[in-house]
Amino acid sequence: MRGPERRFYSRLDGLRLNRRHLIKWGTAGAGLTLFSLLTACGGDDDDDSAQAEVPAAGDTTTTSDESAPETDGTSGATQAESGETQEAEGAAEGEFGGTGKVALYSEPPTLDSTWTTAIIVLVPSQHVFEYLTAFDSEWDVQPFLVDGFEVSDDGLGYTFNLRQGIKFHNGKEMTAADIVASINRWGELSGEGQSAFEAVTEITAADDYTVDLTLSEPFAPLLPYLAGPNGAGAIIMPQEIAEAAGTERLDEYIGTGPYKFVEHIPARHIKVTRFEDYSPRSEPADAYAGKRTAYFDELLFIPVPDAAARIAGVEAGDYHYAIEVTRDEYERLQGVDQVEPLVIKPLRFKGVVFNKEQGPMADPKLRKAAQYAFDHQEMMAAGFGPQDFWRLHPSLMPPESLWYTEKGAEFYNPHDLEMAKQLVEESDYDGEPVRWMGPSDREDYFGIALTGVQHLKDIGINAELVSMDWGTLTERRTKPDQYEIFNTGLSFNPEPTTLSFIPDDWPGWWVSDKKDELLSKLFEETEFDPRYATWEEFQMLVYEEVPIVRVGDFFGLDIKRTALKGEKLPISSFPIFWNSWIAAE
Amino acid sequence: MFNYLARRLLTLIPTLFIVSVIAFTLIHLTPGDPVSLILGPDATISEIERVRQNLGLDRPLYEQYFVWISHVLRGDLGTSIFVDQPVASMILTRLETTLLLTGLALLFTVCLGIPTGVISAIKRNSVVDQSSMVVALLGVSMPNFWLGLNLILLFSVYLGWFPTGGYTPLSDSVTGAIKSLILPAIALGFSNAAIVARMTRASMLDVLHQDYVRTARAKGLAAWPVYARHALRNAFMPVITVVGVVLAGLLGGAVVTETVFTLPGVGRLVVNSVLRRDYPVIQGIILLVAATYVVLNLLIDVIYVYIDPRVRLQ
Repeated sequence: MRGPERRFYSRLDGLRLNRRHLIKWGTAGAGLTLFSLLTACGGDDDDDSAQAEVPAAGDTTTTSDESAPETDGTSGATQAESGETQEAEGAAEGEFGGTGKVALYSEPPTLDSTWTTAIIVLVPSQHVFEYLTAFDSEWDVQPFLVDGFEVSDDGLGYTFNLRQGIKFHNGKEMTAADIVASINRWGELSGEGQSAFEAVTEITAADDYTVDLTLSEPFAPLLPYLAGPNGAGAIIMPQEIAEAAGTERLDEYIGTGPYKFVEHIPARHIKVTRFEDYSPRSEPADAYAGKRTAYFDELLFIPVPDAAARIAGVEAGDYHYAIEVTRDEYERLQGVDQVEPLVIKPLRFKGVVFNKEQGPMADPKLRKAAQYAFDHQEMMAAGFGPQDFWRLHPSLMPPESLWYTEKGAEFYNPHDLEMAKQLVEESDYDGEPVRWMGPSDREDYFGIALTGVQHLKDIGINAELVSMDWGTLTERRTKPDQYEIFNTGLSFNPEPTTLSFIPDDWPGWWVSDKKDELLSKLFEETEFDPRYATWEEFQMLVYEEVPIVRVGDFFGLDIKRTALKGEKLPISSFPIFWNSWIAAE
Repeated sequence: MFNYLARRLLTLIPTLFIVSVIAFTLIHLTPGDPVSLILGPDATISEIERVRQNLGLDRPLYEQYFVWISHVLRGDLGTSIFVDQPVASMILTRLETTLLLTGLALLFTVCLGIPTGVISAIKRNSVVDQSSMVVALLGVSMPNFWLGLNLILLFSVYLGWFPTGGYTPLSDSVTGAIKSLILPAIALGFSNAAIVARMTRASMLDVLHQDYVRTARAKGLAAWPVYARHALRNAFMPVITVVGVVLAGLLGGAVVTETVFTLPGVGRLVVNSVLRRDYPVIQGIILLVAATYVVLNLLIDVIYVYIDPRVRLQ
């Protein structure tokens, strides 16, 4: 175990969580979309180090601006592979001016990233809204809108000391009342917030610059939950706006970020401009933490749904950055002048999700049979083509993560048709149709569904591919009488218990006493080694109960102009454009 | 006349009512859920339900209809579920792009198609004629999205003359607006120009063989005045009919072209709204199109009276 992890777990020693919290953690984890994005960047391991600021019971820990986390500099859970951009561009002084243009693969429905977990919302939103704390490149939680925070000896009292003189985009100074209102809204609205607020008994403004938060019982993930950027996270806004919006989506975007919102014209752009009264932190920039400088006069986030148009736009210099372009273009883009392709490795993993609530796949034997029947190599090839953008391994967490384990590897991709047929025989299956929903408008999903259905037919399961568009699929997968199987892309999260398929009420409905028991243990354990052992047990449980079949990791491809410079750009498929500028081409 | 107009306008009410009911019912019966799409694949079912409740999508269908139609009667087409903006303003802001694109494409169609057809007819069987018709055949066969992508590649990526996509509103810059629409207009208009060219050629050839053309030439009139004053004018009637059909095709083709060139037009709005199950936007557009269609029909009926005295309004 590396130094930071060891330190983290030793700090957690003595902190005890009850089973209820542990399960809530798992449930709320689905909302931690940030991590799925951050995992695509080059930061270090996960939220283990991020949680390092959680104090051990018995200590009173103060984290302040001066506290600099020790890092071992090893690679993170995922990384963006690019040549030049990983150089320390951040050391250079940026050039002010110009308009940064970012091509998005879809239209962000809002900038209210507390209201939705949608990844695309966070890209523009994080430039406008900020959080109390922020993740650094080592996944440590660093103070951001606070100077520091204190935790009481019993771990039940948190005191946040706000930075003074921070202004909202409407000119008003940020005070404790704004924080209280924003956190209360988060507690009411977001899955993570609701989970945290099971333990929060009171949050009050002690004075204009101090917020007191009291828990009924320790809640270890509180600080990472509050850290940003984070899907459905606690963005900070003026009190009156937070209270007026309640659980509705915001209709006014007033934050404290380096850029302020100007307009959202659907299908044209979201425009933000430099906030001249921005109060940057003094520490050097470090991923989402530290000093933020708005070099661009304005930023345009432009929805360009057609991947070919995004590529052409970057090649022509119309856009400086394009998120998620066609992987088939990778080889050609490597040779294009002034354009840099960036492999986001890994982006997500493909999972086959079974309906465990009703129908033939509710029988674990039949799910196990499917597990033996699938040929993962063939499925990933059908979805993603040549192996430049996918890989196979048995772990639920990627090889770059310290949670990687080969426990249960014998059940990963066995492709043993005889065993599969035997399991079908042993099951209660009597030939009912097994409907596999395949979105015909998503090539990779559909390719996997197409091959998977054939594999099931090969072992005598009456599988049929039900073709539909993605919009229909997303609705039907919430209705247990509508399907038996679907496949989807699942996000990687630094904290393994936040994988999206774990909650009971995620489509597929994995309800299991053993799962609950292991989740409880995972949260109760504070030392890494026993926790890792429990995670191995958890992974084994997934192979035994087969709520999903993990097919393989797949990678993403972003592109940018080589002239786009900045602090560790790009750090993920979820890039930041403060501390970024355009150098002369 | 007044009574007739009043009666026709009154029929607008039941027509639009029926359209509204059908549009609303069909759209809501289409599988798919806007909330699941907004919240993304990681959302749990309880999170989806919470937002559905916020948006009133958990209410019975008839209740949702009455809420929507009561707003429509007050002149409010509702609010987009996806982007939380008024539907009416979303449609209005995009009309400019679509109308300009269609207008430019039509201009390109006419300016390229008619002269090409005329020259081909006059220079029948020459190299000019044959090469023009080969290009026209290619134009008819070429999907406009494919042509669009190639135009982007050549004129935007390699030559850098035009933007690869997007639209600059007229209010920001007239030249910017035109510049952002030239390639889409060519992509959209090219295949139609080919149709018009072929039709013009055929029509001109018919007319050029008429006796009065031969007589005019025999009288000693110069060739081009005969083509322009006598032949072309008479050849125009079928061409105009085709141009009318082409216009309808341009409006339909704009949907694809707007997507390829990332233009914020009505066509793209319709496509995106259907994909996102953004019910109020789809309903609003259907209602507006239906109302426009009914009103235009009424106007045409009225215009007939003035054009053809034999027509009587009853």
